[in-house]
Amino acid sequence: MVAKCVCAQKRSMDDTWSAAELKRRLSRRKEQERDTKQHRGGESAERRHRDSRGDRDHRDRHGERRDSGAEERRGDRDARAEPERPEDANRRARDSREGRGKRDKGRPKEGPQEEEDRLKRKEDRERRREERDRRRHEERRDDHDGRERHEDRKQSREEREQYRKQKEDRERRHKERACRDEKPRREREEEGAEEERAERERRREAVERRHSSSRESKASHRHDTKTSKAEDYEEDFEELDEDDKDGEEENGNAEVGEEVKAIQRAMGEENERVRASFSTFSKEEEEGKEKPEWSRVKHSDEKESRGSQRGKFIDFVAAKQREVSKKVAIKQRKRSAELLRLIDLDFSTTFSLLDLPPVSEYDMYIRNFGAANTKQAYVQCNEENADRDIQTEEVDLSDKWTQHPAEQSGACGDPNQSHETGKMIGMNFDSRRLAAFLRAASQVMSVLLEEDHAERSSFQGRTAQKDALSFSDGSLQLNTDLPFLRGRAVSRVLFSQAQRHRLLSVHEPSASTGDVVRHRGCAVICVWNMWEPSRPQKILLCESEVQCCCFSPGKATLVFAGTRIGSVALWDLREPDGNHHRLKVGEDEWTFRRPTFSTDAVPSVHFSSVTSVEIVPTTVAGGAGPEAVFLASEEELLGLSFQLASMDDNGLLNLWVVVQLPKANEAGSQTDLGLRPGGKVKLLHSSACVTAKGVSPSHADKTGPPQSLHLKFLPTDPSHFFIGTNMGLVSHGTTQGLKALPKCYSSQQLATRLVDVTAIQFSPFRPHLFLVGCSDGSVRLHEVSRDKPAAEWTDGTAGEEVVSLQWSQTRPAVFCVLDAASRLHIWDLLKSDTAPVVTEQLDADRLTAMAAFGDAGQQNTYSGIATAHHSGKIEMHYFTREFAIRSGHEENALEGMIVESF
Amino acid sequence: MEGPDTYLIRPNYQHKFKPAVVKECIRETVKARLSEVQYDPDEVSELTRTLADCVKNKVKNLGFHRYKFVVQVTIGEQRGQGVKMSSRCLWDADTDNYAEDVFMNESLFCAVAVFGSYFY
Repeated sequence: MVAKCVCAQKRSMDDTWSAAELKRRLSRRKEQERDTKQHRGGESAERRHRDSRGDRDHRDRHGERRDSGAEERRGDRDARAEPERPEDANRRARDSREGRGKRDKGRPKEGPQEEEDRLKRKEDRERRREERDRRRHEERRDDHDGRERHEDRKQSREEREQYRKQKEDRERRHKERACRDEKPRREREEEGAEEERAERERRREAVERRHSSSRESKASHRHDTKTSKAEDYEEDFEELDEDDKDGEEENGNAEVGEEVKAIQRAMGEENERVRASFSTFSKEEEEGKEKPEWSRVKHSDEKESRGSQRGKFIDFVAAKQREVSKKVAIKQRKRSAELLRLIDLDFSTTFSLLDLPPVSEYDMYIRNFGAANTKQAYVQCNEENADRDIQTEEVDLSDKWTQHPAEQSGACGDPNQSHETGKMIGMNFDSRRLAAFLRAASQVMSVLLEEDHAERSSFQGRTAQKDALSFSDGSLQLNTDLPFLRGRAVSRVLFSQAQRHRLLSVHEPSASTGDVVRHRGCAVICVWNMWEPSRPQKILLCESEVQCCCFSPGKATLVFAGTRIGSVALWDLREPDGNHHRLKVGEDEWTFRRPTFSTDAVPSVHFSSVTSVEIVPTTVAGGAGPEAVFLASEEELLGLSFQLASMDDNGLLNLWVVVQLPKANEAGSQTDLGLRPGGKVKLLHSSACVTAKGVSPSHADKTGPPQSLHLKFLPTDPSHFFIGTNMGLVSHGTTQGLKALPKCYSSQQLATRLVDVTAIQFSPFRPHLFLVGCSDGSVRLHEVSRDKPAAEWTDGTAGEEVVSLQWSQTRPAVFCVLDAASRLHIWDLLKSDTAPVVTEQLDADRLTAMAAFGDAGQQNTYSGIATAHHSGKIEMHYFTREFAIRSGHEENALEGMIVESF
Repeated sequence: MEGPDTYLIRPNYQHKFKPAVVKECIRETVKARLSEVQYDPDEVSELTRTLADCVKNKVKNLGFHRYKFVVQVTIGEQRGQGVKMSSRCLWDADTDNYAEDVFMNESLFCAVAVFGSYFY
């Protein structure tokens, strides 16, 4: 940059236009363009400002614009060329005048050729300036547009455009110069004369216009940026170049006078043309005010032309000005040439003066939001309240542990599951079966052990037996030498019907003091297993004296007893030992069982001692006979419900139903007061019937109140019962109260005798036969259908009371009789029907009770009598073969015999 | 014609254009003038002119002999737009230099550039 600023600043002083006017015009143009433009960012104050002002001049603006734009739209060079022509003509005219003037003056400095050259160059310059001005106008409009937009961007674009245009100009100029240089002077003379003149004129015009428009340009410079200045500077630069080159040309070339003459000729022609076209020029001027500057420029030209028309008016001012500027230009040229030899100019790097990044929308929003310090930091969209759901199959997890080395319990296990539960579950299942098995097995084992023991003891030489009875070939003794059984007399011995090896013995309450004190007043019933003679299986306690007792049918699980005080007691042998009182006697522990159920709590059942307790036999379909063993399954079918009959002294017959409760209540029952807590079996009173009605009142005076002593049911028909009375009769009745014939069975001789019927026994083989034993020693054999006996033996026992009377279990025709004199009589009706076959006297240790036992099974037939002694000893005597084994025809013979008797 | 011209190609070191000094000068001026000013489109054009003149005078008084200065002042409104200004010069890098300063406040920004070129 070599002092161009000076020129620019100097020109800025020549403001003839008012700033306000200029501003208005410019603003109007700006508003025109701004209406169609888009704006970046927010509304700027300037825009609002300008918009508010611009509405007034809207219409005028457009008119202006139309006119001004039309000219330029016509075409670049053509448009420029057209107005140039008249102006060129004026210029040329001026030039010619000036040239003449100058020539007339005779400038010492320059030769005419030089001057002409200078003029030519000036014309070129002017022309270019004109073009540049036009371009500048366009660009200024563009500049106005650019101001609304991003200024710099527009400027750069404009700069580029300008550079491009200037380049074109330069090129053109270079071409022209080249033309000029290349073309020989001859061509110039011929063709270029007019051109030169035109150039000169244009240059002059351009200079003037430049002066006039420079004001405008300077004014707009305030709005414009450097680019216009640069434009100007470049123009000047170019001028300088031109000047330099012109100067060089000047220095170098020498002009010939021939040229001057040609020029003069050309000038004369132009002057004529000018005069011709003057009228047209004035018309144009009148037609329209295109631009004020143009008009003004034309005006000035017109002035000059008129001046020239009037009389060759010499314009000294302009010439002076030109002189001055020329001087300055030459000086500058010289100076720059010298300096450029010494100095290197270089292009500096790009300085970034200001870099302001655009504000993001968010920041803008925040700025307008309120306080500039706030920032939206919290958003609530209920994120914490998220719901999560998983739908999959449940995964079963279980923990297991393992360790090494293994412990006693094992190497692995499950911490959650305890060992007990598993075992318990297993044990629950097993325990019942195990218990049942154990029960059965233990019995077998104990029996075996007993046998073994007996063998050993027998081997040891205890062969000497006190009573080697004639009918028995062996005996077995039950060990009744127990601490609590010592000193107790055995009142009854009874064998179970179903389980032939089971028996019970009733021990009366002891009187001795050497016994266990606690149970002294109680009667003891011992349940034995024949094969296990060493100890009783169960020991039952009864509070009062036991008059009668019986087993339950089928499996001997229940024991019934009728007591002196008029109660019926039952024992459930299945109850676990733990429920009962345990007593440690000596070394062993004994369990004394109390009755499970007692009818003591049942009000007003028996008013006198119960003399007989009997199971009401159930009618088995098909009539299996008395030998039928109640199988366990049958018993289960029956459900352990059968009937029990109890008869007391007065002949009151009570029927009970034996009921098994499904579940034992440990707490006891509130309704069944006789039921032991934990007991499962109880008696339900079903019916009662009075049986002692049939006694004739005539005998009542003598004999006193009739007593019913024994009760027996007809095995085949449980509704028939037979009661032995104290009148020597056996009365017959039915539970339903129907008439039963014969009503009573009496002896042959006398209908009623004051004898007690002490025994009634039905034959196990022939259910319609029964034996009756009386207290006067007579034994009768009755048949159910007749009231008179089939056979009667009055002196069989030699007048002693019949204590017990038992049929043999294996032989139908054999029965045994025990009398009060402790004599055993064995009758065999096949052999002798008048007297017993065998009679044994057992004085030592008198017999108190007797029971026959035996099993008529095919495998092991054994038969015998169990005798209870006074000392409490119970012995079982096995019959010899003759008494045990029966012959095949025995029954028939017996039948025949009875039929014969009737 | 004049005698042979004498040219001072290099200025004395003390008289060389010092950008830092000039920058400080600019800053003072601008701060003093523009501290509490809000952007007003009517006044701003006047303001730029006066500011440029002021800066120019001050820089002239700094005593850089034979230096020609170009002072350019740009004041723009801050409305969130992005602005980038840059310049490039063809000069003798040994002797010529420039100083610039930017002043910003809430409503406007002002960029002042002073180019100093040595007059040989």
